[in-house]
Amino acid sequence: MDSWAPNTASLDSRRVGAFVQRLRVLGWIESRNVAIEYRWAEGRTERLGEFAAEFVRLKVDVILTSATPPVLAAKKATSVIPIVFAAVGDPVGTGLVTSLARPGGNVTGLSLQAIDLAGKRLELLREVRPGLRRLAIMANAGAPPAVLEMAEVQTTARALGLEVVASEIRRPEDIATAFESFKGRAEAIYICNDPLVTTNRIRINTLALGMGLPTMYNVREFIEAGGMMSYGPNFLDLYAGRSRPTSRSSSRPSTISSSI
Amino acid sequence: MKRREFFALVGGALLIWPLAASAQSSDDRVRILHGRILHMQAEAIAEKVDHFIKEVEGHVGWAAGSVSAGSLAPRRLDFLRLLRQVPAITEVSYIDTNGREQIKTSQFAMDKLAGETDFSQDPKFTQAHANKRYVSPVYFRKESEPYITLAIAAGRGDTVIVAEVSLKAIQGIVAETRVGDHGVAFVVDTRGRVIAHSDISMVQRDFSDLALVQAAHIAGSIPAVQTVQDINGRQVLAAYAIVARPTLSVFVERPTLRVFVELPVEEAVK
Repeated sequence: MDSWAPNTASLDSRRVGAFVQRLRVLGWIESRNVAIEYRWAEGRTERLGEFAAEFVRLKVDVILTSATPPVLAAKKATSVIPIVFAAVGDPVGTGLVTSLARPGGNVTGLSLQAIDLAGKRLELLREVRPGLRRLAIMANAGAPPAVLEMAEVQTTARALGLEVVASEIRRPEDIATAFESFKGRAEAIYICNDPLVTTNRIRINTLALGMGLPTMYNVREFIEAGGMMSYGPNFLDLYAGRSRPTSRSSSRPSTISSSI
Repeated sequence: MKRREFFALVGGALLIWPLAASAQSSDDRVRILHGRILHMQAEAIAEKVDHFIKEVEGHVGWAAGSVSAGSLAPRRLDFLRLLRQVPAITEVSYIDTNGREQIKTSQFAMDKLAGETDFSQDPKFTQAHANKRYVSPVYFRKESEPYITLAIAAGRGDTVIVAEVSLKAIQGIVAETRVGDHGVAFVVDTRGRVIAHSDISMVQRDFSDLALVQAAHIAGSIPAVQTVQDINGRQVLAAYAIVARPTLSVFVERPTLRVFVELPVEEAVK
């Protein structure tokens, strides 16, 4: 069995810890009757292909991961070894699975429904920031679900009559530039989640705080790193399989939590 | 009969007992006992499912009862509280006397206030009006998760509170039921679609061709326990129980005694 995470060991070890804990409950005890190989990409997506190839060489039984780019890398490396994702923004929209009911191929897991919940997040943001007129959106242009989410947020925000400043980033260095472009043009910021953003969450929150911009995320870990609010499924539940899939298909998490 | 002869006879019978495993009498007795256990398990699942639905209904009923007439804002707060207290409810809405949806609060979508969607001809409005409450057939949200629509008459009985309820909890109930070493439990809806199964990969499968499922739905009542063929054509002992609202059939089955006895004998021959 293998696990690799797109983010950093510090953040993902807690999530993977929830998974290992759950395995234990089910009778799989690490280094006794199950071996786990860990790899951390630390936000550097170019390393994912290398990890995937290594796992195939090691002939692992199953690959556990999270987020779209690692699943894509694993899918490219093997069509035989089962790939399970704990959380992916929009597995159908980004083509990882054919449908939620029948994922097809060797890939399955839990959908974050990041895009479905975009409107709900805007609604909550407008409730905590009454009179909101100008919204900034930031997303990693290299992360397919983040791009889809950004498009959805833009459409919904415009339908609500908001002015939108959208900024695409690709590398950590782009974050500061993006915030420069928001100066004086936004009253709140919606951040589309992906490993790049997760890895740089403290930097993002520091910049947002400096400019007095309320932030909206889809994962609660951002709030623990100084963000303002989030609305979305609990990652620890996803990794622990506490949100049971209704089938081997991809599924919705059972609880959605909001954090401020 | 002398005592010694008697013991020889009994002893002999005990010795040949394993070989006589196919003898009807002992076979049947064990089968009846197994059947009783399976039936108890099926009944227990049905009862837990029923309890879950009733509990959700109770919460929705509370929201229907606490309605502060006329004003939408307090009602919305009631709905938000409901969504938070009962995670299985993912959407609640309020339909006014004319069948128009006035508020819709959702975990997924933006809330709708003073929406004008017309539900005056929808069963969730008409049936809740006529019978105080309405439970829809099971549907799958995004082809992934089983749901029902639950509607309860509110106010003077002329308005309706509608809740979309996830039935995911049923999978949890079924998963925690252990049926021997090789048995399974599953729940199907009226169309024969699997709502929950001990083997999670069977969920959403179409079991409508299964004789057992057809008998349960067409005839309306089948024996509580019977020997039938399972989805793989194996002979199983199957017990049945029913959930009234929504109409769900619960089956608990395990391979028949014959299979159990034959396997070790084959092993012994080797």
